[in-house]
Amino acid sequence: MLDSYINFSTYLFIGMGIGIFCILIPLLFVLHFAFKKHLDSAYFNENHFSLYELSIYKSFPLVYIKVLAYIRAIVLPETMRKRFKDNILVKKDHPMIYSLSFISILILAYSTIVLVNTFIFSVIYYIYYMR
Amino acid sequence: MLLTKWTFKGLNMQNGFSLPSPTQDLYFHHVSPGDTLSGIINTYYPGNINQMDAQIKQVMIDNPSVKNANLIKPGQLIVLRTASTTMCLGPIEPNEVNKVKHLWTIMPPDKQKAIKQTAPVYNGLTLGLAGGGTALFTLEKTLKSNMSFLNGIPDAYNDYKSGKITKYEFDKLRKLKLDQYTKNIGPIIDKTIYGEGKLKNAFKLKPGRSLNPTKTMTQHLNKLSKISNAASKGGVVLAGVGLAASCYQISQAEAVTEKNEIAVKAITSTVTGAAVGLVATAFLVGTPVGWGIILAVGTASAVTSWGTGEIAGHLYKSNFSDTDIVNNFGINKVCN
Repeated sequence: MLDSYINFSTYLFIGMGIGIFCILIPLLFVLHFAFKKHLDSAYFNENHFSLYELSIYKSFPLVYIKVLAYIRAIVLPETMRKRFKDNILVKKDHPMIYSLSFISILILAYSTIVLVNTFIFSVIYYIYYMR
Repeated sequence: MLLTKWTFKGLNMQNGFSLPSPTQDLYFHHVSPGDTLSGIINTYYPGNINQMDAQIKQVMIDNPSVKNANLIKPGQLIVLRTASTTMCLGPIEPNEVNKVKHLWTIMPPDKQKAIKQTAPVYNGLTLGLAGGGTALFTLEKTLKSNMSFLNGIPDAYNDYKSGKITKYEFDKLRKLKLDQYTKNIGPIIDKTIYGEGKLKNAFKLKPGRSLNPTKTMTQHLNKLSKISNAASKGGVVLAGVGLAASCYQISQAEAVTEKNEIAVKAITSTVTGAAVGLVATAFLVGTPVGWGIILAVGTASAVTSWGTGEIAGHLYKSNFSDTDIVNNFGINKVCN
């Protein structure tokens, strides 16, 4: 039983690594340019970001925090109402950007589940094998 | 002195080190609380569970001080053959063992301590370097991106001198910009770099220096710029050194399983760090974040990734040691 859990957790973790490095990070890179073109002029201002955020989200690597904010606002707009009062992108107008953002959110959701599982697994493994 | 001919190279072992004897290499392991003989053997010769009984017998022959396989004491020194010498026929010559043990006993205590402490320090160094590199990059970005607030003060002073704004307006503007700058870079960085209240003092008008009243401001801006550039270079160096440190450990490890364990630890730490950073950011980005949140996420990410790396290394040794990652993916070649 524990052996199966070890294998299961290991494969989940490897899947997360591949998902992040082979899919999510290239997607963030592509979306960064798409957002810069379509959203920055309207939303990267003091109405939606603090002065501090505006100053640090201009260059790599912190610029990807801004990209993540846009992604969440596009796919899960209701969870970003504190920052963006209205929907920042209409799905019909930019289907490709919406799809890429949706894939990014799926990988992040998968990573969240795997990280929670990794934490539980680490505690169990530490108690049974490493203590 | 005979001692000078002896070098140690088992840096990757947590509690052990190896000394090349005149004819063969031997591992020396310092027993820690909680160590078992089978556990120690598994650390040095992983994947040979079927031959465990034979190896325990061999270790007991090589170590006359181990009378009972189930009873080893913390602090006890146990000699083990290296992976290559386990293939040699015949027992280790007792004289060889005694010679090396004798060298250990006559070695000054500070040298013994240094050797024993080298391995864990080296392992911890990798984590420290990675964390330090990230911290310096963040410092550089934070300082550089907020310099505009301070740059505006000398400009405002020139406006005041040319009569465009009043003294009251200049003071108000100066206070606003300084407050925003201090708030953005955070009180810890502010106090570390400048000391209590020094920054605000530096950007006050100095009536006695009427020829160049903004000289102190310019000096401080230059100082900030230098710190920012140094942090950037330091970040690059530390990140590079951190990566090189893992690679160096892989190249120095003798056994393939040991190389793989180091690689597994490094890869797992990197993946976990990236995942925690991205997921935490995605959760926190709903509302504006400050330097404190970024620092907390960075620290949590570093600690979690280190812990996961340690567990992954242990898991690899006990369950997946037959998978050769470093050679299959060319990591060994690159690091060598």
